Amino acid sequence: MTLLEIYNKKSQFATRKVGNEMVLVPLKNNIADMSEMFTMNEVACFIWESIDGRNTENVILTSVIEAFEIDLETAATDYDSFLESLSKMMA
Amino acid sequence: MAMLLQTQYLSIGDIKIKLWSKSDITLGVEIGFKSFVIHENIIDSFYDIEIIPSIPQELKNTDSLVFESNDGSQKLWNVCTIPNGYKIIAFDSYQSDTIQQIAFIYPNSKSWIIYTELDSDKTALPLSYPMGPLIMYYLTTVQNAIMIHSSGIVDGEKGRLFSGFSGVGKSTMAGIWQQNGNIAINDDRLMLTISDDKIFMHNTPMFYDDKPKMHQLNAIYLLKQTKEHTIRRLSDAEAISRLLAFCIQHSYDKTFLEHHLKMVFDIYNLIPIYELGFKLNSDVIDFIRSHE
Repeated sequence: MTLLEIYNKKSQFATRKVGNEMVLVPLKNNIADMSEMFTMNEVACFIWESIDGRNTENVILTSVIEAFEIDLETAATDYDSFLESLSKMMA
Repeated sequence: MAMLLQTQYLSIGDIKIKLWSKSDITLGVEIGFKSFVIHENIIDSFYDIEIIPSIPQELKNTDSLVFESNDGSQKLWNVCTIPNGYKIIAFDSYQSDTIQQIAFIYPNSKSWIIYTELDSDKTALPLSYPMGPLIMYYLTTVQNAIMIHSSGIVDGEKGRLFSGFSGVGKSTMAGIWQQNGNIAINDDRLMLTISDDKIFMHNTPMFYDDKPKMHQLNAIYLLKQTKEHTIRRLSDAEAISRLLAFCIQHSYDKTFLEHHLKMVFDIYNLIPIYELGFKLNSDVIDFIRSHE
C-alpha cells in the first residue's frame, strides 16, 4: 500500500492520542471489531502524523532519525514494520 | 392540536426519555423497564420519542443499509442511513422476518420516532428487545455516557467494575462480592456516566425487573483467569484500547467511535484501570483491597 493510499484511508479511523502513544479504531460497516484495534508507540505515532499526502518515505525516515536520534537501519525497520501492520489493517 | 393520549417517562442512568403517542393505544414497557418509569413529570430535559402504531410498508425498505445484525439464522436488526440520522429496523426475536419496530433517530435532535406493531389488545411495546437496548445505546452516543459489558460492585464507599471477555467470570466475581455482603449494581451490563469529574456506574433495564441503582466508580478491573492472583495497572494506549474493547459500540459512524474513545480517555484520566488475573475464590476480595 502506498503512502498516498494510506493517507486517503486515514479518515476511516478514529484516533486518540494518550501520552506519546495513540489508539486507532477502524470505521467498519459492522459492530466494532476490537481485534482490529491498534495501538501505536511514539515512533509509529510520529510516522502516522507524518503521512500527510505529501511527505515521501525519505522525508519521513529523515524526520524519524532526527526526532528520535536513531540510525537509518533502526528507523527503516520501525517504518517498514509499522507500514506493514497498517496496510494489513487497512486492506 | 393533538391530544396526548399516552405518555411514559423513563429515567435510565442520566438519560431521561419521554415516550408518547397521539393515537388511541396503550403504551407499555417490558418488565425490565418498569422500575425505570417515572410516574410524575418531573423531568425538564428529556429525549422525546413519538410512538406511532403500525409500520407503513414504504418504511420497510433497506435503502442505504450500513449494518445488518443477525444471530446465525435469526435477523436481529438493520441500520440504514437517512438524512441527519439513522433508521433502525428491529425484527421480532421469534419470527425473524417480521419487523416489530422501525426507529428514526437523529443524533442532533432530541425528537425521535418509533413505528411499532401493536399487540391484539392495541398495546404498543416500543422498547421490546432488541429496540430497547438499541435506543439506550444510541442515547449514550449523544450523552456523556457509555455502555460496557461488566459487573459493578459497591464495597462500602468504593465502587469497582469488572469487565472482560464472555465467560471470564464477570458474574462470578459479582457473586463472590455479594456473598461477602457487598452490593451488585449489575452483573452483566453497566452504563457509565461522567459528571463533575466523577464517574458513576448505573444499571440499565434488563430482561428482568430490577430497581435503578447507581454508585460512584473508583476503579476498573479487566479480568483474566490465572493460577495465582495478579494485578497490573495499565497505562496509556494499552489501558484505553483494552477498556474500549469491552464497551458496547457500533463502528459504522465515526462520530460514535470518537465519542467512545473520548469517554474511555476521560475515564482513564479519572480512575485507575487494572488487569486482574484471578482464581475463582473469595480471597480475591482481600487481594484486590490490599493491592489498590
